[in-house]
Order: sequence, then C-alpha cells, then structure tokens
Amino acid sequence: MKTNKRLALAVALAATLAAQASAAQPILVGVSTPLSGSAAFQGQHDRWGAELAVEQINAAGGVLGRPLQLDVQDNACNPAEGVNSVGRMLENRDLVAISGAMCSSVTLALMPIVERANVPLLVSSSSASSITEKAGAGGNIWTFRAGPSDDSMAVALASYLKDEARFKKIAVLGENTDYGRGGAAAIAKALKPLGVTITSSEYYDKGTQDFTTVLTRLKLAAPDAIALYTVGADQINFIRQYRGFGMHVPLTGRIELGGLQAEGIKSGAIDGATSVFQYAAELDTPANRAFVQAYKAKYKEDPLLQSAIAYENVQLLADAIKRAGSVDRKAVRDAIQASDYASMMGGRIAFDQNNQAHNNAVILKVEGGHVKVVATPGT
Amino acid sequence: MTDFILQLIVNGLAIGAIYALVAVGLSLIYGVLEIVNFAHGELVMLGGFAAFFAVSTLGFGYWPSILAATLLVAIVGVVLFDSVLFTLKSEDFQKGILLTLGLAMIIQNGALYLLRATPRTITTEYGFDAVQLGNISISVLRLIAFGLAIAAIVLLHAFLKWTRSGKSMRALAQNREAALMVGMRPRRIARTVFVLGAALCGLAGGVLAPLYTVHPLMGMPFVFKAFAIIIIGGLGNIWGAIIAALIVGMTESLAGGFGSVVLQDALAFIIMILILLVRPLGLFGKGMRV
Amino acid sequence: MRQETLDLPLRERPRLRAAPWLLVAALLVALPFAGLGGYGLKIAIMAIVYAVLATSLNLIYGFTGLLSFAQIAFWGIGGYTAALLAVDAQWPPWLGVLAGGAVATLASLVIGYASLRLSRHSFAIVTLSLVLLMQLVAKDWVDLTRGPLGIPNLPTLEVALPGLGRFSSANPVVFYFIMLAFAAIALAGVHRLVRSRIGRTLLAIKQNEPLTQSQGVATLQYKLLAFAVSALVAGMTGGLFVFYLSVVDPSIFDFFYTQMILIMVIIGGAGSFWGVIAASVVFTVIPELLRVSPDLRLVLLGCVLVAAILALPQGIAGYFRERRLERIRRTLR
Repeated sequence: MKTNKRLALAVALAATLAAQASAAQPILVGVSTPLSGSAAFQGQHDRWGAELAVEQINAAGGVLGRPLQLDVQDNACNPAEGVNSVGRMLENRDLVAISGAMCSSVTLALMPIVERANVPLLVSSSSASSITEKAGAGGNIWTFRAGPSDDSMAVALASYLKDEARFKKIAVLGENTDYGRGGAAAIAKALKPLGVTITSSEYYDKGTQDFTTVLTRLKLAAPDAIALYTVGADQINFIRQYRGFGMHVPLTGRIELGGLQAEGIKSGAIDGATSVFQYAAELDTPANRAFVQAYKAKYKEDPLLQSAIAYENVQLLADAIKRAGSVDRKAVRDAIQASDYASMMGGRIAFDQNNQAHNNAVILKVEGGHVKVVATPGT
Repeated sequence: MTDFILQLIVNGLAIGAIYALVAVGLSLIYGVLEIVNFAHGELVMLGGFAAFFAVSTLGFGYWPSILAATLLVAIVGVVLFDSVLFTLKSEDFQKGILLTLGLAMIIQNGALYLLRATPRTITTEYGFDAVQLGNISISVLRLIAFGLAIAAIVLLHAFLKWTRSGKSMRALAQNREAALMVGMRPRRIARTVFVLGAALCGLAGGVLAPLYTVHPLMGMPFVFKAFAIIIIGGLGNIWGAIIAALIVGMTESLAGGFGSVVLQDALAFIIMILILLVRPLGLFGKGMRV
Repeated sequence: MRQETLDLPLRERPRLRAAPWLLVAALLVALPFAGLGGYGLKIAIMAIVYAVLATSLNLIYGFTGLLSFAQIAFWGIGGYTAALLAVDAQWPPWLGVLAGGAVATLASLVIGYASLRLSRHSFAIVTLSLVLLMQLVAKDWVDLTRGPLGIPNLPTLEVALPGLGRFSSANPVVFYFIMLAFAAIALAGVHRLVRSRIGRTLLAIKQNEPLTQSQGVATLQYKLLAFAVSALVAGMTGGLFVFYLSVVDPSIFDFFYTQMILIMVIIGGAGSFWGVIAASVVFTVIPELLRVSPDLRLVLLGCVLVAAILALPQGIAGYFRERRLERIRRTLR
C-alpha cells in the first residue's frame, strides 16, 4: 500500500512539474536588428534565424525546462536608436542576453551599455575589426563574436586565388558600408603579396539600382576579374545589368550566392564565379541541411548569412545556459566564454582571448548554373 | 572613347526620362496645389509593386503590367486625396509637409510589414534583349521606358494645353483668386492634379520594375532627387522639370563614367546648388509655363 | 468722450513667477533619482536633446519664417568635428564640443550667405540637399571621416566638481545633468533672443519681409544671425551627443532626425517657444511607447502624425491661441 501511495505521489509530482515547465517563466533573449531602413532586408533574415532557433529549442522542451522568448527591437541601423531600444530591453530583469546589432556602428555603441549592464552580447553579422579589438580580456568581456572577421575571410580567398593564379588585375566594387569597405580593404591587403593589382575600388550606397555607369567603365577597363562586396537587391541589379551588357569578366570576392540570386546563377551568366563567404545554404553538413530545410519551410525563402549567424547565436546561448545551469547573467557569460560548440558550418565555435571565434568559412564556385562548395577553410 | 561617351549619354537619357516622369508629377502637384509631396517616392514604389504582382501573380505581360501600375497608383491617389489631402489649402504649407511625410511613413513601413523587405524581380517578354547601334547597346526595356516617358509627357502637355480640365489647372496655378472668381472648383481640379501626378509615378514604377528590383525602399532616392530637379528646372515649370531631368540624367551618367558612383549620387544636388547660385529662380524661372 | 482702452489679454505669456520655475527645476533635477530606471533616463536624455534641436529649428523656422532642413547638417558637423578633434588631435572632449559649435556656425554663415537670398521654397530644398550631401561626404571621404563605420571609441566627457570628485559621462545620470545644464543655457539664450528686439525684428521678417525691408532693416543680416545661432546650438548639441553614444557615424545625418524635429516644431506650434519644447517631449516618448509593436511602430507613428496634424493644423500652441482668440472674439460681440 505504501509503495502504491509513493508511486502515486511521484507520478503526481512529475505531472505537476511537467505542467509547470510548460507554464514556466520564459527566458528572455533580446534581438537588436534593423527592421526599417536600408538594411531592413538583412535585418528581416537576422530576426527569422533567431526566431527559428527559438521555435526549435522550445519544441524540444526549452532550456532548463523553460521556453525561450525573444524581444525583437528595431535599431534602424542607427546607433541612437540602438541605444534606446536596447535600453528598453534591459529594463526587463529577466533578459539573459542580447543578439545584435547587425550594423557595426550600432554594435559599437551597444558595447559599453552591455558592459555597464553586465549582459552578454552575441554579435550578429557585424564585421568590423574594431569590435574584436575592444572585446575580450582586458576589454569588454561581455561581447562575443562567433562569426569570422573580414581579415580572416580575405586570407582564405587569397589562398584559393593563389592556387588558381589567374587574376593579375582585379577591380573592386562594394557597398558603402563597413561590410563592403571592410571586406574590400581586407582582400586588397591579402592580394598584394601575391602580386595582384587592384585597378579600381568603387563603393556605392545601399539601395543603388543603376550600375550601368560602373559597368560601362569596367567594360572599358577590362580587368581580369571583378571582386564584389555586394548583397541583396543591389547585387541582383548588378548581375542583371552585367548580363544585359553581355559581360563575361569573372566575378570573385564575397558574392552572395543564396536563393535570392537564383535567377542570375541559373542563367549561367556568372558561371566561373568564386566567392568566399561566411555561410552557404549549399553547405552539405547534416546540421546545415536540416537548418535550410526548416528555414525554407517556415519562411519560403533561403536563409542568408544573417539568418545562420542569428540562429547559431541563439543555439549557442541555449547551450551556454544549459551548461551554466542557471540564467544568472554572469554565469551565462562565463559559460559562453567556455563554449566549444559544434557549428553547422563544420567548425567549432570557441572564443579566443578577444572573444572571437574561429569558425569555418566556405569557398563557393558557380558551375553550370549551380553553386558548389569547393572548400571550407578555417578562419 | 566616343563610343564610351555615347553609351554613357544614351544610358543617361534613359534614366533621365524616368526622372522626368517623377519630377513632372511633383512639379504639377507643387505648381497647382503648393504641396511639397514627400510621399511621391512611395507612389513610385507602389507602382513597382503593382507591376510585380501583375506579372508574377496574375501572369500579365509587360504592357498590361504598365497599365495596371498606372491605374492602381492613380486610384491610390484618389483615395489619398479624398481621405486626407483635400483638407489642404494653399496657405497650409507646413500642414502639407507633415501630412505627406506621415503618409510616406505609413506607406513605406506598411509595405515593409505587409510585403516584406525581400527584393522582387520580374522578367518580362523582353528579358535582357538589347538593341545594337554600332558599339552602343541599349536594352530594349530602357528604350521602351524612354518612349513611354516621352509619350506620357506629350500627352500631359496636350491635356494641359487643350482640355478644359488642363486649362483650369494652369489657371489655378497662375492666379488662384481669379480662377475662383470665375467659378472654378478648386477641389475637383486639385484632385485631378494629384491623381495625374500619382499616375505618372505609377507609370514610372511600372517601367522601373523589370529594370531593377522592386522593394519597399525603392522610392526613397527618387523623392529627394526629384526635388532637386524641379528646383533646377524652376519651381512650377513643367518643361523646366523635364529638361532638368534629362540634363541631370545625362550628367549623372557622365559623372559616373568618368568619376565615381559617389559623384553620380551627389551630382543632382551639386548641380542644383550651382545653378541656384547663378540663377536663383532655376533655369527656367517661375510660372506654370507649358 | 470716453477714453476706453480695451484691455485685451493678447499677451500669451504670463508674468515670470519664481515658484513654478523652481518646482519644474526641482522635478528635473530629481528625475534620475526618482526610480526612473535606465530606459526612462535614456528617454529623458533624448527628450532634452530633441528639445534643444527642435528649438534651434523653431528659431529659424518658427520665429524667422524660414523652413530649413539644415539643422541636422549642423548637428552632424558639430558631432564629427568634436569626434575628430578628440580622436585625431587628442583635444579634451569639452573643447571639441565648443569647436563643433564653432565649425557649424562658420558653415552656417557660408551656406546662409549663399542661400538666404533664394526664395523660401528653394532655400528649404537647398538645405534638404545639404543634409544629403553631408551624409555622402561622411560616407565617402574616408580619409577624413572614416567612412561608413564612423569613429568609434570616443572618450567620455569628464566633469570635475570641487569637493565632489570627478564624474564621467559614461554614467547616464551624469550625462543627463550635463545635457540638462546645456539645455538650460541654450534654451535660455534662445528665449532671450526671441524676446528681445532682435527677436521682434525676426518676427517682422517672418510676417512680411518686404515691408520690414522698406523700414530700413537689413533683413539678410538678421536672417543670417538667426541661422547662425540655430547652427551654434545644433552643432554643440551634436558634439555632446556623440560623446554620449561613444560613436559617430553617417547615420547622424539620417532623414529620421530631420523628420522628428520638423514634427516637433510643427505640432508644437512653429513660433511657440514652449509649445515646441512640450511637443519635443511628447514626440520623444511616443515612438518609444510604440516599441511594444516593433513591426508596426513606424506605421503607427505615421498615423499619429497624420491624426495630429489634421486635428491641430496650427500645432498645439496654435490650438490654444485660437481658443483664446475665440474667447476674446465672443466677449467683443
């Protein structure tokens, strides 16, 4: 009789606990991303990546028995907006960490704030090197960057180009942001010792539709290759107009080759293009395939670089909270610092003394209207 | 080298014609209604999306999509005018600014919310076909865009010069009190003007859609540039706006070809400032000359 | 003949009484300690920043009748100047702020001299283009401005109070008081200016410039003065602001700021000193409140804007003024 009673009690207790877990206090994670303004498209994917991660984690039971919940705020790629919106997020004592802010200058403005508030910041897609310089031991210990930096990516591409040894004169075209300028500067630095000359460097404002003057000029200059540091709509416009001009100059650099660019890729007009990128939906690891499939099913679009980084930021955070065994911000920070997370890129996310991880990048090539992963160098 | 310059000029004329469509609408609205229409760029964007949905969802061809874009934005113009803008009188300069700013905010961010920021592309039956004149290549779509813009402007000119409605608009712009005294109905005329301006924006958007990508932020660069163009041409002067638009288009192209893309972006404003220093009323002065 | 003077209460401004002012001052000083929290403090800081910026626009637009979009150009110039001097020339930040104001004022004199002769509408568009050009320069003259990344890691403003120690603006409470002190001085200065003879001349220029000119007034000089003072105020505000954010980038020239101060001035009531300040606070708070819905925030802000301007075409102050005039008209019947 006593055993039965004990059993019944145990079952009742387990049931209550289970009920409690589903009705438990959510763990709050902040996401600061541009939802308006010229970077809204990338911000949209940043958010979707985070949301997908939360959905999957919660479906698997949450973290420490509690569901994750996102507080997504618009920073409009403007530091003042970022500061105010994150200020709002920080009002909530339950906020464990923040993933943000996509635009480097916003991330830089947020760094002193998270340091002051003692909240971990997982950098999403900001590529400026000054972020790493200021983070880590002796600096801002609350800021972590899982994605690779401009410099490490450029070295990877340069080594690949060296094997190809085709290009002696390269023209650079990039968007006028830290992403475009930083990437272009890094490739110039990496190519110089290989005897490659950069014949021209052009930067256009995000949202530029018309590249005909640039293309007219490039047609005249006839470089061996054009290195692109473009994304999104701008790149679509460029490639369309490149096709319209009937140009066949090989493209290289950090070309976005995701689903958005499908039209240009499928047409075969950019066959032979090479790109070194932080992420590719085509990367054939089981984790990535699952991610891409789930993302496409939910959002009807291919994931971008920003999606992948935000997704892994949230996964990394969940992993850290589990290891810390609590949602205390300091404990979580320490757990993040000690991360050794298997990334879907095939590398491992572990932070060095500047709180910078060294995940894999991908080298892609377009052949016969398809994107192929050629290599996954470390960074 | 001459080929290079000619190619640049040809490119510039094509884009200049599209600027002209936008600037003429803005100039009309300003000349008759004295409203500085900050929502003008968003109307272009709506035209772009209308064409996109016409082609991708409804399977229209190029020409029907242009018609759809023009009509849809004209209807939007009617809605905007009758719901909100009719309250503006010519003295309400600042009310007009805030109203159109507010409308621009609603339209742009509403589109972001409802239609997503994802850029859309459409491919029409003309694809990437280009016409070759010697060493110069002009894409068929740009050629058509140029033609449509010219046709629209010629039609507008005819409308303003020979129809009663058009004459009333010119009268209202020239001397408001006198026009009222002879019994013209300002509200009806104002609505026609606004809808005309909107229709021109819709046409511009429809023409742009297959050339570039369509997304909620595509209208923004046009508004500011259109302001500069109408100042260069002379406030209230329709033909001034057209000529200024073509000049800006060509010089932008030449600047981009010999200088840099940055110069291209800034050029419209630099030209405006330079012209104003020499001719404070713009190239063709004031008045709604047609 | 009865000597009857109609003592119409046409003066809008009540006599200056000390008590309400001390109360307001006390409230403002107590604000950071009243359990406002970090976020509330940030909003308070932004409200003060906007109040000063909007007042600088009010000076040139509300009191002189010249619609100018250039305020944001000046605030950006002030910000970049202060930041560059602090980072490249190791100037102390306070000096950088003053220099920012000075450079902005200088720029305004050059720009003003060239453009104030134009028609009002052309002047407005030229100032609008100016901001766009400044943003392009900030993005592309990389050697000077570091380009799109901007200038990060700016030093903080240090205040040394005798006996109380050193305070750094890294602490938002400290920056709040810095901004409050600056705003008090700047607003008091503008207030004195508009209530003075110069201010009355500016109003006359606003109402009827040809008539004022016929009275022998050199209107260009007065317009330049208003333009320069508004640039000085905006420039110094920009200088302070960048040290608060610790980073300056081309987004300081974003059209968003121009929109906000325009909204604040028009809805506050162009030409009403206190109406604009009140509207600044209101329109700093509203966009923050709307963050409950990050997706629809800007759509809702647009709706609020349209509703506000339809309901109050003359602004808040204009609304009250109309009511008062209506009451007077009724008593006269």
